[in-house]
Order: sequence, then C-alpha cells, then structure tokens
Amino acid sequence: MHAWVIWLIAAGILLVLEMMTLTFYLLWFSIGAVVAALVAAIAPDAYLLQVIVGCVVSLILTVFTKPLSRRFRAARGFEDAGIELIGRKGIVTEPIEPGQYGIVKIGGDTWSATSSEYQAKDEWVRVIKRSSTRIEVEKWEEFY
Amino acid sequence: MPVQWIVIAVVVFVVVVFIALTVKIVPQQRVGVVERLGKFHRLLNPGLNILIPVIDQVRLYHDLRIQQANVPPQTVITKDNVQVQIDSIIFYQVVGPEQATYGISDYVYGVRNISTATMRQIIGKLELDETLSGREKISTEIRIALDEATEKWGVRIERVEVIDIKPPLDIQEAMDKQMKAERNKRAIVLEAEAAKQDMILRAEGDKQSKILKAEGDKEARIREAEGLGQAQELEALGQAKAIQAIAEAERARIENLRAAGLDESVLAYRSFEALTEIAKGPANKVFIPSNAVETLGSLGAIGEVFKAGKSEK
Repeated sequence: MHAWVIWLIAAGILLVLEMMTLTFYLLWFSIGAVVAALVAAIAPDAYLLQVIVGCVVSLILTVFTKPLSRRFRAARGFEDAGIELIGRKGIVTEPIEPGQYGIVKIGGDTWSATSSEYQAKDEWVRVIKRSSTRIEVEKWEEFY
Repeated sequence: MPVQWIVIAVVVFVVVVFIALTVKIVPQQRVGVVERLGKFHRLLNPGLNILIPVIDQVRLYHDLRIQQANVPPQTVITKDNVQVQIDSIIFYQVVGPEQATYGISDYVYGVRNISTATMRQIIGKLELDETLSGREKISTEIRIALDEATEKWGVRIERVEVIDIKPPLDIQEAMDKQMKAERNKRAIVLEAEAAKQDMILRAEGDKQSKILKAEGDKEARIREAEGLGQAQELEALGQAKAIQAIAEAERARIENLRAAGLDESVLAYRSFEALTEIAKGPANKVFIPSNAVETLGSLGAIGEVFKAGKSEK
C-alpha cells in the first residue's frame, strides 16, 4: 500500500463528504490531500512533509475563499417581503397625530407609524424611514 | 517514529479545527451574530463567510422567518364580567438580530408574555359579543401596544390571532338558548307573515271578483237600456211616419173629394145610402138617430136653400 494511494483515497472520501454535507472547507482538505498525494509520489517516506504540505495548501485555499465568497455574495438571494418597506405605499387605518403613533397598512400587514404632520384615516402615505417595528411616513404625492 | 505520528496527528487536528471554524456557510433567512473578543462585531449574512477563529466567535444564530408561538389557554375577564378561556397564536419575526441578541435575554418568552398581557388588557375593554367577532378590532388595538414594547427587542409581532374563545358552560347554554329563541321567533314571524299575505291575497281576489261582477252587471244594464231606448225611438218614428202617411192619405182624399165637387146634396144622398145599408142589416128594428133625421131635415132645408140660390142666379 503506497502512501499516495492512501492520500488519494482520503481525498475521495473527503470530496464525497463535502458533497453530502456542503460545509465547503472539506473541499479544501480534499484538494490538500491530492497535493499531499503528489508529494507522496515524489517523496514516499516523508510523512510529516506530506501532511504539512497538505495542511498549508488547505490553509492557503481557505484564505482565498474570501474573494470567492464575495463573488457568491453578489448572487441573488431570497428577498424578504418585509425588508424593503422604504418607498412603499400604505393606507392609514388609524389617524396619526404628530408625536403619537397611528396605524398604517402596507400590503396586508399593519405597522405602527409616526409622521411629522397629521395624517387622516384612509390617506395614502409613503414610508420614508423604518426602525425595527415602527415606520415613519409622509403624505403620498405623485410628483416624486 | 511514534513522535513523528503524534506530531502529524496534532498538526492535522489543529488545522482541521482551524479551517472548520474559519469557513462558515449561513443558509438563507438565518443570520449569525459575531463577537470579536466579546464585543459585537458584525452580522453573518447568508452565504459563505470567513471568520478569524481565535478572536471571532459566533454568539448565536437567528431565524429571520416568521415564527409561530402558541400561547396556552388563558382565562380572561371581559368588560361585562364573563370569564372566557382564550387560546391565541402569535406570529413574530426577528427584524433586528443585534437587538434580539443584546436587548432582551429570551425574546421568545418575552414575546409570549407581552402578547398575553396586552391581549388580556384589550379583551378587558371589550364586551363578550365583541370579542367573539371583533378580530379586526383586537388586532388593531394590540398593534401599537406591542410595537411599543418590542421596539427595543428587535422583534416584530406580525399578528396575534385568537384561535378559540371558550365562554363558560352556562353562558354557552344561554347563547344556545338565545340562538334557538331567535330562530323560533323568525319562524313564527314568517308564519304570521304568510297568513297575513294569504288573507290579503284572498281579500284582494274577492274584491276584484265583486268589482268585475258589478262592472258586468252595469254594462249589461246599460246595454239593455240602450237597446230599449233605441227600440222605442224606432217605434215612435214608425208610428209618426204611419200617422203622417194616414194624414197625408186623408188630405189627399179630401182634396180628391173637393176636386170631385163634393157638396151637400151628395152628402145627403150618401147618408141616405148609408141608411138603406143599415136597414139592410139583419136587425128588425132600425133606430135612426134623431139627429140623423134632423140632418135629413136640415139637408132638405139646405137643399131648398141651394135651390133658392140657384134660382136667384
């Protein structure tokens, strides 16, 4: 049983595990194991060297994950309906007094809303700011 | 050799752990809170993330999806002093992972408690009937109170829904009775309505038939009277015509007689002729009216006069 064969088997097992679990770093180990197998083919007896080379390769690859991850980050993810509220149109269901909270309905959800001016019931408003549970609105005007 | 193997094992172990802690894949709609040496550093967004294992630590992950929490049945007293068991469900969502981590120790527990308390407060302002049907009202009322409380927790309670309201048994029985009575009342009212309609319709029919009959009678009578009138008129006309004709004929006869030169002597003669005609009758006795004799006498006198008149001429 040659050392490089063992390394290759390890690489294969790691690759399969990676495909099954999707942790991403096992992929780097498996590539590191392949590199270690190459080293083992050249120097069959230097086990420590093989291990260290494999580990270093894995580490370098891991460091290079960052630019890769940026590229992935650009891909479109799932957009939560609740996140993008700013600029949306809502209808006032409870009148808003300045300094007090009223209620605005935006697409089926009710939100506590505040405003710098009085908003009567059934007025259309635009969301201009959002904190975690409250929003700030202004009158909806068409010339925006 | 064993030393070499131990070294190899240690190196491999350390590297494996290091790399495993460096690369973090966060699934969509989850977010991790990273602390660098105990201080909040950043959020781990979905996708591939790189951490520095020694100084960075993931404190905890938050699920950003809307979550549901069942609130165990609560006994709540309504405005009209009825104890009801309310079973509600809360839908909430983590919107600020930092606040949900550092603002409150256990936001799920907090959300449950605040919802229950607010619910109790709101139900306490409503009458029993309103609570049974006022979903919209409850959700509106609860909104501001909850948002005020959960603002600092980074959690937004989307909605609180009442799944079930169980009034006490005796109240439920009363409600059933009320319902039955309502239905009964409706049935009785409907029956009465039907009877009323029936009577009205019958009366209407009666009235109509009577009116029609009277109309027919009147029409017939008018027609009859008209016929009678016309007939009489025609008869009278006929009679008038007949009388006229008779008169005409009479006049013609007189005219003719006059034309024929009718005078006293002819008349006298004619009367005698008539007398003889009478005498020829089957009766034995003939009564000659005295005035006839007189007439005869006068006729004679007239004849004399005439004769005298002629001789004078």
